Amino acid sequence: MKNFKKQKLFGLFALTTLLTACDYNDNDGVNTVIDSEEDNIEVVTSSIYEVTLSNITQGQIFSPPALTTHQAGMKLWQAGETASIALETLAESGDSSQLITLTGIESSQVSPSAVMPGDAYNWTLELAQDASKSISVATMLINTNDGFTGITDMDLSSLALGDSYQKMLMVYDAGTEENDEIAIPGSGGEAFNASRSGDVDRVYAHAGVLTEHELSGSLLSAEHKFDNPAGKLIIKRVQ
Amino acid sequence: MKFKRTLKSLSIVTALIATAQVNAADLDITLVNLTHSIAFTPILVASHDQQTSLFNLGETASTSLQKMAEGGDTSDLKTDVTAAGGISLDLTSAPTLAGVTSTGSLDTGANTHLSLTAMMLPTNDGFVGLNSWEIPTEAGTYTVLLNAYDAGTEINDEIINGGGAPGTAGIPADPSGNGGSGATGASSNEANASVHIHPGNVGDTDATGGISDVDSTVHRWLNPVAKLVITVK
Repeated sequence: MKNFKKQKLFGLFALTTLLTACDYNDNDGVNTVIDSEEDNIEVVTSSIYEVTLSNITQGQIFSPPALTTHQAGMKLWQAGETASIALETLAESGDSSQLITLTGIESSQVSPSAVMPGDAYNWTLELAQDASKSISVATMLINTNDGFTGITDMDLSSLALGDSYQKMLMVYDAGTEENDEIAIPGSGGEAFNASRSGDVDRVYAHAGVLTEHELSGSLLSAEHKFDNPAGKLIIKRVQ
Repeated sequence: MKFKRTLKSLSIVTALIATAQVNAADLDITLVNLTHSIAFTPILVASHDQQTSLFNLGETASTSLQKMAEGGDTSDLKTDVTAAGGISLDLTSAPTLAGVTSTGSLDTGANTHLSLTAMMLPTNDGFVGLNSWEIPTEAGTYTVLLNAYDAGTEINDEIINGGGAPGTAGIPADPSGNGGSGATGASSNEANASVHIHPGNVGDTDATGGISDVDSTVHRWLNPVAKLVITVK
């Protein structure tokens, strides 16, 4: 009961100032004082978010998507800038292992499996009161050369309990591999290749795929075509 | 709630003349077809409560939605809207061509959300859609850009054969007059049987054969495909 009261108290004041001492009337009308830093530390509660990524493409499978948290301002990619090798690895092979261990990443959760068209993956993200509240989500469209979708450096610090954000996700091209539609891991082609020759070596908005109908040798069929948005991300704060 | 509203405002390109609070919404509605040569079958606008939706991404299309998406028939959707206590408006009653602006007015009564659907021709089961948009309580003019959806109920074979009934393969017609004939089929597989973002037409440049009766030089699009302007009076 005592802890419960303290939690309620903390909740009341958490969004304003961390007070070292304050008075309040609880439901019994008893005046209670919280007067030490220790008490504040004891009653700190974490925030919990339900994060849902939906694959809303016709026929593009998402590689196991990665959810990371990090300090505000860290960006896993920036349009117009050169991709990191970690991002290149994600975008060309679907392997997020380097991306989630980049310096500055504070936590990560990777889906155990790919997300099929029409399906969704749901994470539960718990962040301590003092943890960074910026998130990034990334996944490869595995029937592209180096196409990926997601969001980077999204700030959750202003999301109130019970509220949610919805973000429609566009497709990026890592700019690290020529879109020959042959080096396509989702169709049995090559995945990661360190060479960046033949592409512009900067992240840009993906122009879509041509498929076998318009590009000789393409491993892709009509169902692999896509338009934006390719994903839908919903983040709801539940605690 | 505050942040939900903030988020929604991101999808509203403009919000002008925000003045008085209103309850029952009296709306003026304008839809601009932004595409090069994609026609819209009769455009259904519906106001309804928060629990009602005509379609949802990631969910299987209702039979009513399928009828609209494959053949342009909105009658069952309108029955559904009425049954749910909603109010419908036929913004148009016949197919309209690309570039056309359609207007109408709707008194939503106590309904709080707005949806819109119209089949896109020539496609197999593509439609332009607005899904359960919360009608702002502040008077003003709001613009929403609409995407093309695929109902997921029919393979996008791109064969124009008059087929518009649910479960009948093929495309009913091409009102733009650029369609071909004799195609063998652009696709033989529907990879996502739930409602999803339309991948776009494949098409070809062979008017009397090839894989598609859709012309790749005139019948393609990128999202958004329509601009919806809503004036809350």
